[in-house]
Amino acid sequence: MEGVGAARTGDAVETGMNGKPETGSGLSHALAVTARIGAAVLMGYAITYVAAGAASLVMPLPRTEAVLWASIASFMVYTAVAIYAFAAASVLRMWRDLLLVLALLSAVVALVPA
Amino acid sequence: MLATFRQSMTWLHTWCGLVFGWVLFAVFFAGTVAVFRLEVDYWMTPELHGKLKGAAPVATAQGALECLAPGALRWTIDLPDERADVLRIRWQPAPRERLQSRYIDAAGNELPVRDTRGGTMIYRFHYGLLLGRTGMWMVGGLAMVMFVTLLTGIIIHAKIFKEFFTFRPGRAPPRAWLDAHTVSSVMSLPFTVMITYTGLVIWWFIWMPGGLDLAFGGDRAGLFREMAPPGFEAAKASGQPAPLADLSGIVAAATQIGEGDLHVATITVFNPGDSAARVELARVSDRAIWGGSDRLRFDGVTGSYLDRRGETGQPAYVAFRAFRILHEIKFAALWLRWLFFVMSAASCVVIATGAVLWGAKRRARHLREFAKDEPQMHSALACFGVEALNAGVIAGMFTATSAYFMANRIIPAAAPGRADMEVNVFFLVWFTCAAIALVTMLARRRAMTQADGAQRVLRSVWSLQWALAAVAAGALPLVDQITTGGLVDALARRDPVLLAFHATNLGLACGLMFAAWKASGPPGRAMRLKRA
Repeated sequence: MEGVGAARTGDAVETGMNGKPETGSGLSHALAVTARIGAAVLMGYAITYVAAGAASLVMPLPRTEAVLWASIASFMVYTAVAIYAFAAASVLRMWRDLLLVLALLSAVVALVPA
Repeated sequence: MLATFRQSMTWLHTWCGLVFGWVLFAVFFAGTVAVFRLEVDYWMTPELHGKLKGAAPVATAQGALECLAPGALRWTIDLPDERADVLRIRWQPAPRERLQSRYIDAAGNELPVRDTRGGTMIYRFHYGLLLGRTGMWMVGGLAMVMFVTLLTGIIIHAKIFKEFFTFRPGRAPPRAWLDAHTVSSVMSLPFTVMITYTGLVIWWFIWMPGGLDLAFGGDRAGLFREMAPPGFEAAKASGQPAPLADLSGIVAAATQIGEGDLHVATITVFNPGDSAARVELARVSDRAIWGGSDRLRFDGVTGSYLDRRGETGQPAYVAFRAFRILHEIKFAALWLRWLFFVMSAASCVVIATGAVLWGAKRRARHLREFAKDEPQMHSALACFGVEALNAGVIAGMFTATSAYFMANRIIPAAAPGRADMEVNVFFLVWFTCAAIALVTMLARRRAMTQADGAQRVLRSVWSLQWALAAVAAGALPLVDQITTGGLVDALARRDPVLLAFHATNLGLACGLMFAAWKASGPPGRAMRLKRA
């Protein structure tokens, strides 16, 4: 698990034997990993859930059609969020972006009449 | 995070892969068997084998139902097909009473069958680990993780076609396993992506009901009622008795209706013996992956054709059903189901080699520590423990399945609670295999203070596990023959389903034997250690 969340500072990163950077250590590393897994799993579910709802509401289709199409596609949204949670450069900015997306989608659900 | 996008994906890929590898393997293994779950159901009820020779199933079933259930509300006849040559009749005696179900032979006599969960148990394990709603959530989470693992795997292996032709068995251990993992992944990748996504979509209303809850008030039944093609309205009894028409004639008349080669799978009679009796035929086709089914309705007294409901519905519903049919491959042609079986087995290889790869990578590092004379025994033993459990869980799944099949034959047919006992045998043998793997590794931990010794011990753990699985699979036809005479009987009657079952099992036993033999010998070039 070495190196995750360490290469933030812009320092040169030493590459270990498996091609993985072996900088970083201890607590900050564990925190960064937890924050990313947490974002991937929890934010991923929350965003997907609300995105499916929002898409069902705004799609110009009969409601039943919209719900089913949105639900079929929703697992792609989950996948995208999980990948972004690990690919984003900064943990803080990643959480900020995901919360922003969640807020936007929630606003759509709240404002569009069901 | 990590220096590059690809490296961060490597990290995510590795850990997602291992943490869930074992349960995921179990789910895919069970899914592979479940492709033929009806055939396994058939094998596991030997009382039904070869009992329909020369039967006219529809007439036989009608006669039996007239004897057994004259005043019932509803009759159902499940006709024999190429997956299982059995004839089942069901009826509902009165409102809110339990559905009765019997298997009958060619003469219409009831066949008492042993209580078993059959291949259906393996199917249920596949989507819910036999742990109810909790298990379904676990499998759903796994499927999601699997899908992320697959996509990140594609990102890691962006140069996928180049890597596909790169198999380097002569290289150091992690390299050879990595190649095996990559080759099997690429070969089965389209299938694995498809099967994982369709698996997620099947239960969307349980796993991701966001659209349903936020845009449809959570009314699942209402949603499907609105989307699905409407069924026939319920038939009301008139109270005037009238003899039921000949069902064989109705089935024969059905061949003239509609296009395509649909055949009747199920006959349902509403209000038999009443002047308002209705007969519904559910037809399926094994030529089309989807859309190949319809329902016909006939007057139950005159036998005249009334109307037909094709499989239509809103486009999204058609898409959803296509996802489900693609995953369950229920009514497909035989070769297509074999293709699914083989591709699914290849996916099991992807997951198993992924788990082995995880161990082999770390084994190399710990073995280097041994070579440096500073063994960190605790972390090394933990790592080797994971490797031993890999063997126990993966090879043990084969052993447990064979044991489940043997328990079906060995536990007396009349024993009370025998169906549960069969399932218990499955889990008991699986966990015992994992325990044996761990104990055989720990018992020889003193031999593991050197690199060569550790290598030998781990190989012997694998070898023993494959040997156990091979013995269990090899013993299955013998147990079948000794207990029910099933093997000779299947050969004599040339029963295609039973013979295919035994042929598959024999091929499996040979493969497992080969694996045990390979693991028992000296490490091949691929697994030899690089000397520091």
